[in-house]
Amino acid sequence: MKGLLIKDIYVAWKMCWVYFAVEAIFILLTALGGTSPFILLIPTYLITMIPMTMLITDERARWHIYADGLPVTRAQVVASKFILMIVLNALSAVLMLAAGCIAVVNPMLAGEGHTVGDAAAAAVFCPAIMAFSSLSMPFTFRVGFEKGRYGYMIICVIAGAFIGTASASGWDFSRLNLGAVKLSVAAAVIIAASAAIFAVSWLLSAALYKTREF
Amino acid sequence: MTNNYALEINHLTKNYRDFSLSDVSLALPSGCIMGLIGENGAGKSTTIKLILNAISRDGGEIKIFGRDSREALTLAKEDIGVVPDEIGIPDVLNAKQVGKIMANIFKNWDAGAYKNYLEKLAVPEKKKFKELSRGMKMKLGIAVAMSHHPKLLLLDEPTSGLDPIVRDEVVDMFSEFTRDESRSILISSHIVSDLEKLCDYVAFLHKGQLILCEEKDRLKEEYRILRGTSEEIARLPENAVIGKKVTPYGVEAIVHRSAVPAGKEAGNVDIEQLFIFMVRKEG
Repeated sequence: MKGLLIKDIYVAWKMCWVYFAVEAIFILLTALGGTSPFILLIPTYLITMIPMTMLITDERARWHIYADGLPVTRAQVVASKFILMIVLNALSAVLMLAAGCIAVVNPMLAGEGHTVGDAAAAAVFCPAIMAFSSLSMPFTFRVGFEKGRYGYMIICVIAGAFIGTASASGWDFSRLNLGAVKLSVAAAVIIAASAAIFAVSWLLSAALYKTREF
Repeated sequence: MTNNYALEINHLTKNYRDFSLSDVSLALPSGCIMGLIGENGAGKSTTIKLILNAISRDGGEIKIFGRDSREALTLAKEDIGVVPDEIGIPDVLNAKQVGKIMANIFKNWDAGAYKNYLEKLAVPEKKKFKELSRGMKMKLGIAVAMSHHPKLLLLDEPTSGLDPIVRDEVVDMFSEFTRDESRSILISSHIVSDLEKLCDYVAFLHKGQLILCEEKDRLKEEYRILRGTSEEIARLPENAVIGKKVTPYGVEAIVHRSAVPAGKEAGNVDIEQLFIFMVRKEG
């Protein structure tokens, strides 16, 4: 299992450095410019694409067939991708929170009304996006990327529509003003729902991949 | 190990829409090398995938070190080295990184042995996998498969794509590997000359059916190649003729040694001839 994760980290670093660079730029923009939905959601969505990219790379290399000859179970092969997703997403959330906090104390943004609550709200959306992205994983594990990409495209269209609608309706965290208690409850609900979706996606992926024949 | 067989396959069956592996049975004793010979699409890779439980079987039984392959296979794989027909290492990794990954996958990984194999096979440590030739990729796969001191090697066409000199080196390495009597190899190939050098047992697969599984020396002892006219060959008992080929100079037939007529000279048969004649007879 540890070996699978190390392999994914090596490959992610080589294949997806652009994703990491874009994530860094957006984190910087958050710290310098505050918490607009676009700046918050896009980099998080991008970072959750890395495990999907790993899956495509594995398939092209025929790693999935090679791994059948190694002392690892197929459940572990699935787990490595989901764990990678959690780690990258947690990292993204922490950086987003830190950037949001910097925005609050940034003298250039003084008077724009940024609060620590905004930053926390931004971080809460990281697991939500992760759960949303994980929905396409069972398809891909079952039928491979060539066919599974249609499931992924549908998820992308839904995500795009969601972000577009939110932006068009002028939705902005800074205008929500939920207050600490309501924000905490909302955050807890979002995190719990995200965890449930993510867990179902993980279990389904493992079950479907277990019986896949190459 | 109490069991004398590294691998036992009994009545193995797998059905696809356009291909079936039917009722395959073979046993690989510990310390031996078995060659699985067959044309492309004969079922060699399917057999290896079934052994690894990578695809589900429709019937039969597979035992690895005396235990059903579906029980505790992950544990058994600690003692198995696999070289598939295509080494599935991601393009961006190099041999050094592959070593670090495998050190965290295999409990018995021997980093020193891996380094020695890479040196012996002249595999560059820092070159990306995508920059290696097909032969180099295969050699890296072989180094990985042998560096955790497995008791059973499953090799699917490991010498294809290698030049004759490297092929010879690799065949010697496999031969050296089985000097320890607890180690065994199942190797599939259609390069029969390699298997002839290496194997103790040969199994012929043709269109998903096992048409022969026997000790190599016994086969070479038992069969002869006989050249004569079509009338001479026709006079032999039908069940003594394994296969025949009509040439412009007469007829060549593989026959049981006991059926060679007195006074008639018959040549030694090699495994490749035997395979080709048997496959032709099967159609």
